[in-house]
Amino acid sequence: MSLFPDQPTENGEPVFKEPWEAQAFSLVIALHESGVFSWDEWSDALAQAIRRDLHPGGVEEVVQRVSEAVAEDAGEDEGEKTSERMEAKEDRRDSYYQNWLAALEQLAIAKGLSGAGELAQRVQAWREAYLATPHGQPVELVRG
Amino acid sequence: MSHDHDHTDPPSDLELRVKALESLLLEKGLVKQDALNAIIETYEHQVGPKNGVHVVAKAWSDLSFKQALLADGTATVADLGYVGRQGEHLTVVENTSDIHNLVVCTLCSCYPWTLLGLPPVWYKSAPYRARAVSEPRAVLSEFGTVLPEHTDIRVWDSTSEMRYLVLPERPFGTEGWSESQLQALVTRNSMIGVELVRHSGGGSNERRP
Repeated sequence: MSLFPDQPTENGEPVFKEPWEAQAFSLVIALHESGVFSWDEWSDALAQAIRRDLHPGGVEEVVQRVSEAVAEDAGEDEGEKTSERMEAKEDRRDSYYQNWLAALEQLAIAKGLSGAGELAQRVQAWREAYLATPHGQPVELVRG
Repeated sequence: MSHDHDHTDPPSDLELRVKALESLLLEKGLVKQDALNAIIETYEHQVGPKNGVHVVAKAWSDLSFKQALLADGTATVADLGYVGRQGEHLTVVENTSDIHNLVVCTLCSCYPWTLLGLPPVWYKSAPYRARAVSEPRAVLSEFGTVLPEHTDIRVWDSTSEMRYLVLPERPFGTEGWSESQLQALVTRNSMIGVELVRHSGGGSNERRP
């Protein structure tokens, strides 16, 4: 089942290219299940993140995406055009969970689950934990 | 290849951001690890081991591919388009009548996910990580895999730089099968090494003395 428009799916089920995508996905499902936010709130946050991602390219990019989608539906299948479209599709797949993560961060901050500074510090703490951990040992956060 | 052993290379910014958010939410009790595991478990098959299945069935069908795969796993699967994002290397280990290979990551959950998809939750669990090394036969029997006593069990401990894929034994009774017929037999667990590949048609590939 595809829960959200444009979510990458295969045989109707969500697919993930990398484990972090599934991790981000599971956080949203878990927060929703424990009642932290509603689907409507999540859908709005995700839509906003996708719009923010689209808008830097302006209206032209939106038009291009729409025309690609139309061409895909028309089933024009030939050579270069197909591979270009496939690349564009890959890009959309890549960016889908990047937008998903951005939406989750925004919503977590808006709901007061985490402060923006706290989150940024934690990213840095993980990075430093990796850098401070001798090769081949488990990486753990050092709490101050 | 030379390593700086004083540190571990951090993963991508995206992974660090997810780790940051997840660790904060867990600490604050806003999400529970069990709940996250249950969700991942539901979807772990959806990334799917199909790339690994492709590699194994091809190795069974094409001897020169198999030789290349065992000699240089990383380059050989890269030729099929399967490249790890973090530049990790791949070693393919072959099961034979005398040798059975089992893959674990004792430190965390390193896994050849470009080939096998998301790691199953049990692979990441502390008991599997410890017991795969200390008592592999007991672990295998819990997966229903009972090996003859003379079989040499080799356990491979994955790292962030080196991942392992088990090339299972091709089952007896599959001579002349096409690659796509063979693909249907290959399971994720057989490529981690906790199960053998079987086919229902002609019994199993268990060896009888």
